[in-house]
This record gives sequence, C-alpha cells and structure tokens, in this order.
Amino acid sequence: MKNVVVIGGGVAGIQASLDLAERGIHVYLVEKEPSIGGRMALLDKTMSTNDCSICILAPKMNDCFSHPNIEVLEYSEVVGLTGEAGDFTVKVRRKAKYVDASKCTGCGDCMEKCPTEIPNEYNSNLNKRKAIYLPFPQAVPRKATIDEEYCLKLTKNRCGLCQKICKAEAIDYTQKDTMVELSAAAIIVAVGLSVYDPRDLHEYGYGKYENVRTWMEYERLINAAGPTHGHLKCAPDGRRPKKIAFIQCVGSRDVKRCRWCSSVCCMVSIKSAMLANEHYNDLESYIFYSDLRVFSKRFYEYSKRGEKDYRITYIHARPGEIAEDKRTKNLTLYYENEDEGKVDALEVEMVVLATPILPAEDTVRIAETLGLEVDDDGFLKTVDYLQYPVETSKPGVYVAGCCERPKDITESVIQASAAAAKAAVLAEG
Amino acid sequence: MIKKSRAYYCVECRKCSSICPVTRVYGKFSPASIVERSLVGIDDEVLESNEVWKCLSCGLCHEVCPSGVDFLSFTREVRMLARERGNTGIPTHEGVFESIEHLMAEGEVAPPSLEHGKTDEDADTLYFAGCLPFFDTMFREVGFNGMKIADDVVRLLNHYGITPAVHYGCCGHDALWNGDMKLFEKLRKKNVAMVKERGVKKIIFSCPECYRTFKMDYPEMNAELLHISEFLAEQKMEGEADDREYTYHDPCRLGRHLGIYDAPREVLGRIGVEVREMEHHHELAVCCGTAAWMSCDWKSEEIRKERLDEAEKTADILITACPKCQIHFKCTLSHEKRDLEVKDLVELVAERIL
Repeated sequence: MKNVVVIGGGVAGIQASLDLAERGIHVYLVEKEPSIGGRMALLDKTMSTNDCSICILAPKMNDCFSHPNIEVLEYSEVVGLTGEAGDFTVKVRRKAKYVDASKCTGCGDCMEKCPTEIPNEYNSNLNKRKAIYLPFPQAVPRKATIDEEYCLKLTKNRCGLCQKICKAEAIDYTQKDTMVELSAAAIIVAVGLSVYDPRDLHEYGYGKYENVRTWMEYERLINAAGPTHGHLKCAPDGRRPKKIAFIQCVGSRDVKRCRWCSSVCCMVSIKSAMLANEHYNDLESYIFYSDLRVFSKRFYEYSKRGEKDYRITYIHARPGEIAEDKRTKNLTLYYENEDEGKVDALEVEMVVLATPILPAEDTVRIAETLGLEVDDDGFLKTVDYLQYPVETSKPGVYVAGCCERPKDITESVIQASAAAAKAAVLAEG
Repeated sequence: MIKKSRAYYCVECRKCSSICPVTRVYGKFSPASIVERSLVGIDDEVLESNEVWKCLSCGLCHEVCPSGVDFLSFTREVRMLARERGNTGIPTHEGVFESIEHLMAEGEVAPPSLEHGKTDEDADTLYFAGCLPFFDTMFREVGFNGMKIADDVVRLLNHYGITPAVHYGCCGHDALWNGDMKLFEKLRKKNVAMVKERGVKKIIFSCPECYRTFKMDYPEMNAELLHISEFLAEQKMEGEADDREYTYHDPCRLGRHLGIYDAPREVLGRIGVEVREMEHHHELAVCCGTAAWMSCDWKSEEIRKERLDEAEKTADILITACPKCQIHFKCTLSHEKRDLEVKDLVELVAERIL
C-alpha cells in the first residue's frame, strides 16, 4: 500500500484524507497555515440548514489530526514534484514555527504577553492578532506559531518575552525551515480560494465607506468568535444596524473583472440576512440581485423562507452607486425601480458586497510546481468537465474544492470523496 | 449595431440606469430600457422619441456595466437611424452651432490673431484650437474667454520652446454624436487632408472633444496626438501654493472616453495646487449636463447644479480641462450666484508660471 499526498487542509482536503485513511491508505496532509480547517473554519453558519460551521468541521479536523493513517504537515508548502502516477516524490518545506510542537500545550500565555500586534487575516483584518498566535480558537493542532516577519526577537533581536513566560519551555528561536521528501502514489490538490477585493468598483466605496463590507468580513462580524463577538456594529458609534443591504455580483459576471458566476453568493447573502434577523428580530434586509441563483437541493425553498420569516426583500437591480452620509455614516443606495422606471434611493446602515470567489493566491505557483494546467480564469483545469471532473492535466494528480471552480461545502465534499476514490486506486494498485 | 455594441450581453441588471445622471433627473430616460426594447427590435417609438437625444454620452453607464455593453456607440447608431426618419432632436442655441459646423465643412476660418502667443504656420507641431473663436463670440456674455485659452496654450508652448502652427475649425465631434454622418465625414476628410498638407508630426489639443475625435474616430490619423495637459505633465514647472482651495472636474471625453485622469492632476500638483476631490471624481465624475449642443433644458441645468454643489462644497475654484464644460458651468453661474470660480487648466498654469 502506497501513500497519498493531499495538498490543502480545508474541508475538501480533510474529507479526502479521512476517506483514504479509513480505507487503510496512509496520507500526508500538507497545509500552508498553522492550522487545518481552511475557509470553512472561518464561516459562521452553513447553508441551507444554518448549522454552525465550525461545530461540523472541528470534529473532522480532530479526527483527521489524530487518525493513525494521517500525518498532518501544517505550516508547510509543496516546493517540488518528481516522478509519475503511482510513484511521485513530493518535496515539502516545513516552515519554522519557532515553537517546539512536542512541548507547546497551547495555553496561550505567550500570546497574552507578546507586545507585537498585526492585522488578523483570519478575521478579515478587522482586528489584531499577536506575532505569536493561534489562527483561531479551534485551531488544530493547537500549537502556537511565531510570525517571523513581525516577531521582535527574530527581526531585531529584542523582546524575548514569550520564551520567558512559556512554562513548557517550548519557544525555540533557533528553529530553521526543513525540507522533507514524501513518496506518494497519487496527489490530491485542494488549495482553496481567495475572495475578490472590490476596491476598484469605486461606485460602491469599499475601503472608503466604513459600513460597506464584503461577505467574508460579514462572516467574521456575525461570528461569535469574531472581532465583535457576533454583534453587528456600525460606524461611527458602534450602533447595531436596523437595515442591511446586500448587493450581489460585485465583481463577478463582469467582463472587466471576474467573468464567472461565483455560484455560492446568492445563498450566502440569504443566509447572512437570515442570521442578522435571528440576532435582531426587527432587522430588515434588502438583497439586490441580477438573477437569484438558488438552484441546489432546497435552495429555492430557503430563499422563500427568507422572504416569509426573516424580513428579506429581494430587489431585481444592481445599484449604480452608494453615497455616504458624512455624519451618520449611513449609506444610500441608488437603484432603478424597474416597475416604475425611475431611480429610487434606499438608506441603510450597512451594505454587504457579494464579491466572487477567486483561485487562492498561490494556485499558479502550485500549478507550476506540480505541472498542472489552469483555465482562463486561473482555476485548476480538469481533463473533462463531464467525464473526468477530478482529473487534472497530469495523470495521478486529482483536484477537489474551490481551486477547481467556485462551489459550496456540499459540492467540495462530494468532489473530495471522488478524488479520494480515484487516488485510492493508484495507492492500492 | 446590436452586435457591435454588445447589447446582447446585457444581463438586465439595470446598474446603468441607476447611475445615469439623466435617469436621475429625468425619470423617463433609461439606458437599460432603451437597450432592452431595442433587443426586441428597434421600434418607431424609440426612433421617433425625444428620448434618444437625451443621452449625454458621458459614459458612466459603460463605466459600471458588468457586461461591457457599449452604450456610447449604441447611442450614436440609434441617432443615425432617428435622423434618417427626420427626428433630429432639439439642438441648443437655435441650432447655430450646427450651422457653423456646416459652414466650417465648406470653407476655412480666417485665423484670429492672438494677443501674445507666437505662431509659425510652417511648424511641425500643430495646435488644433477647434471652435474656440466661435465659442468666444457666443459666450462672452457668460464670461467665457475662448481666445484667452488659445493664447495661453500658445504662450505655454512658446515657453517650452515650441512655436506651433495653429488651426481653427470643427473636428466633427458634435455631428458624429448627433448621428449626422454625412457632415462628420466631410469634416473628417477635410481635417485629415489639412494635417497631411501641413505635414505636421505632433498635434496638441485644448479641447478633449477634438482630441477624442482625432484619436478615436479618425482611423487614418498617424500624427502624435496630445492633450495640452499631457504635454504639460511632461514639462518641468513649479509654482507655489496659495490659500485658495481647488478642485478638478474630469471632462467625460478626457476621463472616461480616453482614460486620462492623472495628467491634469499631475500638472496642478506641480504648480503647487493641491486638488481636493469632489464627491464624484475620476471614473465616477458627473457630466457638466450637456453634450454636442443637444437637448439643454432645465433638467440638464439640474445635473449641472448638482455638480456645482459638489464643487462648491469642496473648493473655491473649479478647474476644468474642457472649454465646453467651462461654458456650461459659467452659464449656470451667470444666473445663479455661487461662491465658486471656474477656470481652465491652461489659464491657471499660464498665470502661475508665465
């Protein structure tokens, strides 16, 4: 029995690893972040059941990490590939965490003492984290990592507080990156997604108007583990919104930006609007859509439920512009009322932009390293969308999740299991 | 026409109509619904309506359109069809500019003399001054001094070692945008022949409309073309800040049509002017309210007033880089007192460095 290397520890990578491990196949799961979990670990609820995202994922993360057939290589990246299907050698750089994982207990004392604060990318940069950190509370493995770019000891040879405070004596500033070579019969690539930055749609004022947010920022704002502990707050005084507008297709289905439909955003916005209303039952939401694409199982019913039970109004229009009231920071959206043929204005306290899913930033690098083809939009290409939906252009390398095209959790998991089944044939053969 | 303008790609999101300044003040006009109706087949109702003449061709709709529908070329072509039906819109100033354009297509304009600028008819750099002498005569009453702009351009060129030839005449911009292809073709051929005959290598413009027309609508033009702001942005200059506040109005042709936003701001920065941006600027700047001397009414005035409100809130002096924008703003200022001065970019630069 040979190994399989899974690249990317999001829900797709975790699912593929667990499927293979349960069949008795040994898996190396390579994750670039200090924790597995990926995007799903940062989402508040899942659609269309409104279940807690991390509550579903966390047990899987733990199963994965503790499974005897899975070795997780967190904070690591794939840097080389040789060989062919059935007999690959994957070269992986394990980045120095400057923390001895065998000693660290994840107690968090070091994070309290660390004086260096930097924007917290795991909270969409809405608050700060320390230079020694856990990406999020449910991180797996629950071991601290030192950010070498910002740590005072590593950059300026000052401070050293974390080492002094650590009772387990786990801090090791002398750690170096190490290289390992893994043999594998097959590879599954599940490197995930990034989200479009809508700053260049000047008409919506993202980055300029404080109360204009992206859907990913909203996920963190409504999340109890997020920067506002799940309370929606608006500038300038932190009051909670009574009206929220959601604008669909901000940057997607756009010939100048992302041509594709991001496929999940309609449902994401309905879910977000539902959650807002669950938090504050007088809250009203307006979803501005071009076409409401609620096509999967029970999605249409979900959209209707939003209208009926959660004070959601659907408006068929893309607003042309948002204006901000300088004093109240409230936002006025201008949109064409197609029934009456005139421009209407709607004032709200918060606007959430449904920006599209893009390939993850390092997709191109990984594609080059592994020798895979990408499509015109930068997603990993499969041999044939209908007949070979998990086969990349390189035999023995399979793909799962959003790095192939935008998709929701259910579809990612389905594709991951399919990729695992294909990889198993090579590993068992 | 539908194919050329990508109208088929319209996803009916209506973003264009939500941002269109005309829709906002006029209600009944909507870029989205004209496109939608035309997709079914251009009907008499569209071609015989005054609606087709309301568009400012400012390009805001195209700027925000996710499907890349080229509403500008669409408008031009619809107007051609409307004109064939005898629907020629309501030109401003009783159509006097249309008459002047026709005259210019037939004969030459006797070049007026400049107060200070030195010119040389044999030079290989040409300053295409467009209609400035006519505008000067027509709009003195609202305080527009067109020949001063021409003189300042030439003086600035002189300052940087260029003694240019100067040509006054119509580029055909308005004829083109009003669907009068016969007139446009005449003017285009005439100008192309003029440039060839003079043998000039470089042409400088102070009017963004002439510049756009030469650059985008004269396919055979191969001389180097520059707006005066682009020329100035390449030159060494300095100036000192004063205690007044300035803002800059992006003309539609220079900004959205040609993508030139930085050069005028760069020039202003170099002469010590810190540009304070209005609420709408760069790609989202709002039009001055009238284009191609067509359909100016109290609704256009409303667009203009909104723009002037923005400027007044932002600064003491509004700088434009388009003579027509200046005329339109000054027209409103002539019957409505405001704490705002309107000036052309070259006028300010000439004041500061000459």
